[in-house]
Formats: sequence, C-alpha cells, structure tokens
Amino acid sequence: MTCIVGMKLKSEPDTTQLALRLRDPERIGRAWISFGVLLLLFASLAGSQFNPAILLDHDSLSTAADFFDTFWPPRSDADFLRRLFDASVVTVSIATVATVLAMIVATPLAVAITSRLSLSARGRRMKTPPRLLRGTLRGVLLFLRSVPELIWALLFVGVTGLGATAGIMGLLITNIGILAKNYAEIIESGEATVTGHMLDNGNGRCKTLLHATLPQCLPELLSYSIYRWECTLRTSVVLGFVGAGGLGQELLISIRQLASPEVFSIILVFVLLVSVADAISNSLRRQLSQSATQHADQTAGASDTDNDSGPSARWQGQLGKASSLLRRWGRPCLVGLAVLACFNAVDWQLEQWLRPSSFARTREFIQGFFPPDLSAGLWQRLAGDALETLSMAFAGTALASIVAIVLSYVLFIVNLRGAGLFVRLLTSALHLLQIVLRSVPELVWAMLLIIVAGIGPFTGTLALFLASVGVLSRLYSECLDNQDDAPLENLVANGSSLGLAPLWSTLMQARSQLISYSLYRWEHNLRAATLMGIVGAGGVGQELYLRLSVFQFDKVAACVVVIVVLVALADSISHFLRHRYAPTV
Amino acid sequence: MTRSRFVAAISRCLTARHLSRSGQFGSLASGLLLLAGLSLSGSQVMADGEFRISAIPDEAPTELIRKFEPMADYLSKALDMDVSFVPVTDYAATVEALVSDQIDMAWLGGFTYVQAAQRSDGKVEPIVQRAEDERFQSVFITQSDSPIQSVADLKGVNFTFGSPSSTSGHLMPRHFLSEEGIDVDNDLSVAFSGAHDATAFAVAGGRVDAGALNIKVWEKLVNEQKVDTDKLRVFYTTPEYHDYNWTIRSGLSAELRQKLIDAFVSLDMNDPEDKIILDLQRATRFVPSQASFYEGIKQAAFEAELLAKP
Repeated sequence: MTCIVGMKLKSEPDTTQLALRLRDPERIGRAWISFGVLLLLFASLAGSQFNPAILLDHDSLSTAADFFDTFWPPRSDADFLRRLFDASVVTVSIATVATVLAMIVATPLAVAITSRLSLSARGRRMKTPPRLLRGTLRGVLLFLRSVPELIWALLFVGVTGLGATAGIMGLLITNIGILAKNYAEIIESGEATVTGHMLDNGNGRCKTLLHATLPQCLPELLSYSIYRWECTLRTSVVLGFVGAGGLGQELLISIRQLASPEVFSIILVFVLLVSVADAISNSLRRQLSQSATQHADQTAGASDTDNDSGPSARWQGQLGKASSLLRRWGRPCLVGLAVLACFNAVDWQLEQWLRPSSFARTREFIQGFFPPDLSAGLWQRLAGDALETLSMAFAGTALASIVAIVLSYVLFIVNLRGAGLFVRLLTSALHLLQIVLRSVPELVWAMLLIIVAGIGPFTGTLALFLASVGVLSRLYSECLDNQDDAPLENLVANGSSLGLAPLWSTLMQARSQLISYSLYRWEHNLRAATLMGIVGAGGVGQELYLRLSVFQFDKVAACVVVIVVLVALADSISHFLRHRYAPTV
Repeated sequence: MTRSRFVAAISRCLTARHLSRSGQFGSLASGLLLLAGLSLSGSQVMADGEFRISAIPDEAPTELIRKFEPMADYLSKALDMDVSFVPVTDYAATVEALVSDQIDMAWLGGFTYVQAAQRSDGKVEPIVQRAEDERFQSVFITQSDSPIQSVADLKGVNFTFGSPSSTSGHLMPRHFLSEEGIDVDNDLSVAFSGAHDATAFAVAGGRVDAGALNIKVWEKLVNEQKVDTDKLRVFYTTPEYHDYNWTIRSGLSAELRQKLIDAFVSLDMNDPEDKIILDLQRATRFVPSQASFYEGIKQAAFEAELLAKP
C-alpha cells in the first residue's frame, strides 16, 4: 500500500499539500502488515530452500534437455490414443461420481452446520447444545478434508482391492469435507433477511430452507460444485498410486519411465479435458442466468399471443413452447445423462464389498492407527517437515499472488486500450499459458520439475507456484473485469493515465476479493504441499508415504495428526483474515 | 451497471427455483436407482476360475508387463487355466492385494514378502525363487567426478533410495549403511525415487549426490547402455542376502501349489521357448524357496524400525 502512495506522490509533485491531506490514514498499520508479510515470505523462502540458481545449473539443464528434447512429437499412434481415451473416460467418471455423491452427502451436512437455520440463534447467542453439535460436526468435516485422499483410498484398498472404487472413495470422502464446509460458507455469505424473516414468522426450518435459503444460494452452490468437479478431475492423478486407473496412472507410469513423448501426450489430453470441463461449467452457469431472462420474455410473449386468436398463431405458440422447453431442459438433461453414464462406466467391484473378510481387514487397518506413535525421534523429524510444508505453501502462494496480480493487471490495461494484432496475440498466448498452468495438477508439476530442480522442497514450492499462477491470474482477471467501471472512467476523464488509473479504482475496489482469493489458494496449497513428499518434492508427505509403505500405521497416524493440525491452522487463520481484512466476500 | 446486476440477481433466483425442482434431483434420483440396480447384479457375479498374478513395481510398469505377460501365458498352459497379470503401481498395494486374497500369486521382494507374511499371520507362502536370488546384492552409485569414494563419505549428502518398500533399493542398503556406522535418518538427506531405474537416472542427472539400487537392474541398465558409465560409477557393493520370490496367497489347494512349483522348476535354459521366459526374468533357473530364507531380512527390518515387532 505504501509503495502505491509513493508512486502517487511522484506522479503529482506540485500538489504535495493536497497529497499530504489525502494521505492514507491507515498507512502505519498497513506498512506493518506489508513488513510482516515480507518477513514471512523471506523466512518461508529460506525454509523451502528456495534457490532458482539450481535451475540454471549445467547438470540439471542437460538432464532436462534430454527429457524435454524428446517431448516433441507427442506420442500419437492409434493404440496409445485409444488407451488415453479409455483412461480419460475413467478419470472423468471417477471425478464425476465422486463429486455427485459428495454433493448428495454434503448438502444435509452443510445445512446442519450453518448457523443461519438455527432457531435458538435468532436474535441472540446460540444455545450451548446446538453450538456443540455444530462444532463437533465441523470438526468431523475438517478431519475428513484434511486427511489426504491417498490415505482414504488406501483404507479402501483393504476393502475393495485395487482399482477405481478405492480411488472414488478417497476422493468422495475428502470432497464431502470440502463441499460441506464451502456450502455452509456460501449459505452464510448470502442475503440473510428472507431466511431470518421466514424463521421469525414461525415457518419450519425445512420450509425456510427450501423456499428461501436454497433458492437464493443455488446458483452459487452449483457453480462451486462444478468448480469442485474440475478440481477433483485434477486431484484424481494422485490416485494412480493405488491403481485407481485413469490418466493419473498413465502419467505416473510414463513419468517414472522418463518417456517424455507419452508424458507430453497425456499432459495435452489433460489440458484438453480441463478446458472442456471449464467450457461446460461456463456454459452451465450462463444458462443459469439466461433461462431466467427467457422465462421473463416468454411470459411477456404469452400475453401478446393471447390477443391473436388465429389457430396458426396458437400452433406457433405450441412450437415456441416446445423449443423453449428444450432450451431450458436440454442442458440439465444432458448433464443428468452424462452423470448416469459416468456411474455406469465405473467398475464398482461390488462383489469385493460384500465379503466379510473385507470388513475384518478394514477394522484391522483402522485399529493399526491407534494409538499414534509418540516417539521423540519421529516427532522431531515431523516438526521439521511441518515447517517445511508451511514454508512451501506460503512461499508458493505469495510468489504466485505477486506474479498473478502483475499479469492480470497488465491484461486488464491491455484490454482497456483495445490493442493491435501483436498485443492480441500476446494476450491469447498468456491465456493459453494460464490454461496450461492450471490444468496440470501440482503433483504432476512436481514430478516434471524434479527432473530439473532435483529432490527437495524447492521443487514442491515451484510446483505450487506454477499451478497457483495459473489459477490466481485467471481469478484476478475475472475479478478486475467484474468491477464497476464508473470510478475508473471518472479518473480517466479527469486526466489520469490509463495505465495507472486502475491502480486507484479497479484494484482498490477488488482488493478484498483478491486477498481472499489468495487466502483460499493458500489453504488449497497447504493441502497440496502435504502430498509433495510422495514424489520427493519436500514436506511431510515423504514420511507419510514411507510409513504407509511399510505398514506402520501408528507412525502414519502421527503424520496424519500433523497434517490435520496444519490444515486446521491454515483454515482458521485464513477464515480469520478473510473476515478481518476482506469482509465483503 | 447496478440495474443489470439487479436483473442478474433476480434471474438467478428464478433459475435457482427451476433447477431445484427437478433437473438436479431427477438426475440424482436416477443415479441412486442405478446404484441399487448395480448392487443387485454385482452381488451375483462371483470370482471365476481365473488365476491372477502380480508383481511389485520395482521397475517401470511397461517393463513389468513385457516381463510378466509371457510368464502368465506359460503358467496358463502349465496350469490349464486362465492366468492374467495385474499391473500394480505401488509396492504396498501389491502386498495388500495378496494378503486380502485379491491376487493369487505375486512376485515379491524379500522385504515385501516379510511384510506380507506378517500381515497375513504367516499364511502366505514363498514357493520358488531364482537361483540368483539366493545371493543378491545392491550397489551404491555416484557421479564419476564426485568426491564420494566410500560409504564414510556419505555424511551430509543427498541420498536416494528406490521405493521405501524395496529390499535391494532401501531396506538392505539402509541396513548395511548402519552397519558401516551411518545414521541414515540424521546423517543423510534422504529421498525416495520410487524405483531402481529411477534411482540411476536421478543420480545421473545430478538430482542427488548418490543412490542405492538392485545390482541386477544396474547390470541391465549398463548392458543396455541406458546409463552412461562415463558419468556414473559404483563405489560400494553390499554383502549378499536373499531377495525376490514368488509368493502364493493362503488357501490355494495343495495340488495347485505343487503344479506351480513344478512349472517354475521345470523351466530349462536349454529349451528355446523356456529361455525367452527365463531371460526376461533375468534368471538361469528357478529353485524352491522357503520362509526361513528371509529371517535375515526380517531382523534387518526390525533393526531399521521398518517392521513393527509383533
């Protein structure tokens, strides 16, 4: 913030008096915050052994050159492509099934934990029993989402054996935790008055939920679910480790072999899949707003045709009705059919579920976790790993936020100017880069970067950084585009330069949302950082994977405790900061 | 702008209602119905007469498929039943699958066998091993121009093992390191490459200072010129120990067990068809194996605290 003030002073040297009066009243507090963030950034850069010089080292460059040299052409023989197609179908099915089932389970859970529908909390403090109940439920959800998918999946390998089902269960359980938490947050961030009035007027909670709360939030809930589906698509990669099948497994195999043409093909398919998912989710969201407008138009149109009583007009009315029905229900029906197809495509391995020995194994597996190992040697290592994990997540997010804000700001200004061919090409290139960066999962970035940057937390940080730049720059861009233009237009009309004016209008309007995006990303990155160790990219994941591999579940439990504490910490810090510094979102 | 936002908000409310009424719930309901239907049909399909074999993924999975599919074909003829090879990407998952009877026989390392034996209360049984597995070794490699000359020089370096569950890529190298006075957890900065060939590539690329791997895989990589011996050198070779074997799950019939042993033991280098299979397994012949061969590995695992004492 202070540096912006500095710039302003420089650009208008003759109005020092005015500038003095307009000085940011909170500048001291903000300076301290900036200082603190910088300090944290440097600490975490040190903690994650951040050393970009490694990337230019001769040895790593030549290995990387060997690997990436053969990237082109991607492998594209019919046999391999068919394999990739089958794998894509499996990936999409797993992600879809895991998301849809999680939506079903998460909805009642979200309704249960939100304070919006609490009767005892109307106009006063919530009573103790319901508060305790909600707190417990929140704790359970936190646990569900902070234990990595891989662990849940391995739990089910004992039950259902290797294969897609274990993968689905892993994704499903984590998704339930994440969806229920975010559903509840969406419900709580929505307009409160209607729900409140209905409850105050003695309506039942069920009725209130169905008539006020849910209809208000549904578009946002659905958008979030669709976004979650995209994320699930990407996270499913890690489940290649338990033989869940799909693109993740193919990628794991190819990277381990250093078969770069295959890696490249698979990454291309991944990018394609995520782009298609993105397009589908955009189109669905657009329909959400469009069909409502059409509904309004149609009512207006209907009153017109009433005046015209000719039979042909009535026929036309019928036809119009049919086509509008198709338009309204076409896409939801297609989605429903696609979901059904996904359920059908999954190999459920149900004969495995029903064997009594499976349940015995699961019980044994769970019992192995208790009590967690408390030996000093292990916890000493874990403490170091935990710090490393925190550093990776913070450094990755902070650096990505800086790059993303610059990137999206430049894109915003370029868009304002409305530019020539060169600039347009540049912006499309940037968009493409964004898509590639965010389509490739963090873990895959880590596996690729390990070839260049070596084993260690630096690689993990870079991986988180790259994926986050892709995601954040897109979110930032959308956010800047969505701001009200009036302040910007005023500034420009009064002679501000087009390059700097958004700094004082659009950026200021968007800042709390930008901050909250970064905080969300930080939470996400912390979860991702806990898994980086599986591929050797630093953090607590390596100990976790080692102990899982040698079936020492009491030590695994200790790792899980560390991970749950880290995720809970990040969650509550982010929650606190978002409410304190970014209250509008 | 505010007006358009208002309209958008209203339209959102309207669509919300229309969606909540059916699109969503309809598809969910039919999904549930489908699930119920599947579970009914699923429970009627029981395991057929197929014999499923698998292997720990100590090499790249496509390499495993190349190695084991001819073996599956051979066993299929010898047993007169369908034999399929199930590729697995994780060591622990292989053990878990064998112990929970989801595969009938697996190619395990010494350490994974010990794990499987412990997790099944001694019910799984090693039946055969390669003659070479009676005297197995690991090699420690580093870059040619590295200052590392002996195990004692390893203090403070970046060191990579293969998979955490690997005998020749992790457990035994760790065991011999501590016999040489190196405290692996505190003296080294440890990583896991995941597989033997990956370890060789990681050291060759300078991603780590040194690494340990299976001597057989090392010899194969050198012979096939997949690693450059100008860039890499071996600075330590471990003493000998028992390694890999074929382990069967509990509950196979005595007759089937005998047929399997006979099939392996009768593989003959002088028979051109058998030679192909043996060469792929990098074996000269198969010999009977027994649980007591792996006592040493079990002790090493106890000492390294990688196996819980019962």
